[in-house]
Amino acid sequence: VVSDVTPCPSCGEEVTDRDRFCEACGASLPLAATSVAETGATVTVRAVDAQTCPNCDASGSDATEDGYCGLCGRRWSPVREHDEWVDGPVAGVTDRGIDHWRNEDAVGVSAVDGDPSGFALVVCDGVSASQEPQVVAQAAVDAALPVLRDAIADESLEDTDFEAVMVDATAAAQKAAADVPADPDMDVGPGACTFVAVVVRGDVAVYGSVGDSRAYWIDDDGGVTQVGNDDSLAAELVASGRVTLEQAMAGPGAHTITKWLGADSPDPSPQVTRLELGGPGVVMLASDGLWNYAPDPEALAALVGSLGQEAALDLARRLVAFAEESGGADNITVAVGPHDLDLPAPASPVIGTESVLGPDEPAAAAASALDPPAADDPGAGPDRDLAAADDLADSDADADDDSDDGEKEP
Amino acid sequence: MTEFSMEVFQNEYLAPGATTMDAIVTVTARGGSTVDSAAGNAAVVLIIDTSGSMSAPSTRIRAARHAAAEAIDAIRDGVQFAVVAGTDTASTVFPAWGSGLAIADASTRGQAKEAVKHLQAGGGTAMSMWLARAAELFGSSRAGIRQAILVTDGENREDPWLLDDALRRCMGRFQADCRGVGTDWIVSELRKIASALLGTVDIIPQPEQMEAEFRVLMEAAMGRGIGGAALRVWCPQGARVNFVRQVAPHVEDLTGRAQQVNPLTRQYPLGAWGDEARDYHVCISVPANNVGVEMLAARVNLMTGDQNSGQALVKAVWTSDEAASARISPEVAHYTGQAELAANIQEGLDALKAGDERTATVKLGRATQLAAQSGHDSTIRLLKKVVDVEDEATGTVRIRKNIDKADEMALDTRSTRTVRVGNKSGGDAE
Repeated sequence: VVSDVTPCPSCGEEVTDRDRFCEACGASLPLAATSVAETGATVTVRAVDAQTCPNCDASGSDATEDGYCGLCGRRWSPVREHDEWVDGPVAGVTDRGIDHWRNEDAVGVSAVDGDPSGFALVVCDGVSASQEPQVVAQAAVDAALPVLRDAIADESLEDTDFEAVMVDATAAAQKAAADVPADPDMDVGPGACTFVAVVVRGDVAVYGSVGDSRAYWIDDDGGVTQVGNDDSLAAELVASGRVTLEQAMAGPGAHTITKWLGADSPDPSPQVTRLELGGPGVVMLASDGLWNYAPDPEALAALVGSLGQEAALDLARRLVAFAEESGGADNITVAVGPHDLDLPAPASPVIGTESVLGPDEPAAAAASALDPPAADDPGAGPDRDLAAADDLADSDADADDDSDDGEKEP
Repeated sequence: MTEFSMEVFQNEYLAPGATTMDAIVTVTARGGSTVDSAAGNAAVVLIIDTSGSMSAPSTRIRAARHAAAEAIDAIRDGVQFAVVAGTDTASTVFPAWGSGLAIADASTRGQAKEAVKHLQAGGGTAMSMWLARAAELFGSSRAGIRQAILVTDGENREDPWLLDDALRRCMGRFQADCRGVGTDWIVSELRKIASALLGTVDIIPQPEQMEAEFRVLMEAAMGRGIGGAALRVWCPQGARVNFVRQVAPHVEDLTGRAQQVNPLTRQYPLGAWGDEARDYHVCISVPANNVGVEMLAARVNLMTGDQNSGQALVKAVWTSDEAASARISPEVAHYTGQAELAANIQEGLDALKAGDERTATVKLGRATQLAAQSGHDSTIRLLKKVVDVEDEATGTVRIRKNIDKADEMALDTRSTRTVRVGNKSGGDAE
């Protein structure tokens, strides 16, 4: 951890990376930049002031510390409303979606300097019915990503070591998740989250997963592989052959997960899968806020379309926009890592001020990078292929009804 | 140090289209009533009616002298105090005119007791003058807790607007507990004063009971560690406060006392606090929302001066689950019943005074039923001195013949006292 304490961008008083408001001057604070400094990635966080209440258009600075709009009273937290991460060719986008009052997903991406084939991606989805899931998910990402990044940068390691690295990264994430303080007297259990991650170097990808956030490999012929299985009741039912995927996703408990990270996790060990990447393609991680609207991997691959046309950030934005257009019933997170593809620069300007930080730069510099953004609407992104996306969404309308995402199996 | 804790009781679920959210907010203060906490920060003015009526019977003025001496004895060292005699004017009996408030010690208490020995009855009753004098005396003090104790045996003999005007000028400057001796005073008049000045009202049926009552009032006044508490209610844009009502230990509508803090926030003065619990019924109109939406209907803060000493959140969640939205919070139901009980007693007694026995029977019958349902035993006892109860459960009653005036007035003054939900201690102390 770089530092728990940074100066408030408005008044210079010390604030911690868990504060959302400066206690001295009351200014709303951007997200802490801890992950940025540790991983070398670029994060573009919309400043709290620039975000608007989903109900009344009040500024994010009117949101109260306990999670309500200070004007209309709607339950709402502007933290991680829409964050975009970029490191070299890889990108991740996380978004609150439409229906949920806060974003309990977290994402981290990291590329290796001087090795275009080396990168790591992590996505965690906080379990709504647990304590402080948004903190737990971020803590898990923050703990796992440096482990993965260090491993791929370490030339003394062979690809055959990466399964062990993935186990270590998951263990680090589990420890961080379990360390988030929980109140034993609360109705819901301690904080919990899913975990999905991938490390890629050369032609080898090693995936790890706990829960029902997904990993995909899409090759440039349109072939798609969902790597591993969901740890969910629905997936178990489908695997048993008793119901179809459609039936399982429409049924109760479709999003009840059977494994998770957190203090009360019965088994935080990951499914680890190695994949030889034969040629060009895209490695992708997604929380169920996206894949709910395209549960069939073929449908998701169709949505992604032909590869090599857009930067990782643009693809991630487009998929997030698709999920929002489809209903946005859950938080939406997508991480994209292109493999062996020659990609254009991001088509749309990155919103807000961008800053690439090395591991040694102070977190304070990162805070100053989180200035209020330009006036463009950042959430929209490029809207091509959205018509096709709408068709897809209609056929999966059932997914909308299931709002009780992220339930743990009792 | 006084510490406040707050709790909310509500059913946060609303049916689609529903726009009214009720909640009971309880505020409990602990740890404030150490003996020394009030000294130096408390001021007490004793206002004794010495109008002509106090000499008939002559036991009254004599009892008043004794009771005043007793009350003076109960004043703790360091507390600022004065004694005012009220007639058609007001005279400061102690300390000497122009010297503001005295600081209590053995010597000043002795001088004050000597002074009240010579109280004489004679003259009229002009309560606006008494209150104005109290305000003037308190004005010379920086004490955080300012409590007047007003005792009268008669009706105010002034144009009503004079009293209203005096009350407007005294509100927020001090509090007043009011007591009526005998049965020749007017309950509604003292209730108006007590209500405006955040105090209590009660009857002292016999002059010789004054002594004990004075001591209790004085102890209570000095047992309060917090001067100016207030309830601050934030409501979202588009919502509004229907009412804010204290419901325990007695019913008092606070809605009209709101002071605007900012466009979304109102503040309701509550006066001084000791180690005690009070309950408030907050009713908010919220804009209708879609099923699934959760919003904050009100944020209720307990303020002590400018300091935020506690917070409670009143939420609203719209649901299509009828079983969830139809449930009524037992706390809300209980206090709605207690407010209805108070209203029925007052309306019943008003009807009785107006000679409308039919209405009185219906109202007091309903009151009996409500009191029985909520286990409000002390009110049932008082009701039974005014009505013969045939059946508590159905509220079947008959108005008694030869009702004792003191019993009728006791029922009236105590009509607003409530029992706390689940008969928790605190609300029904006698």
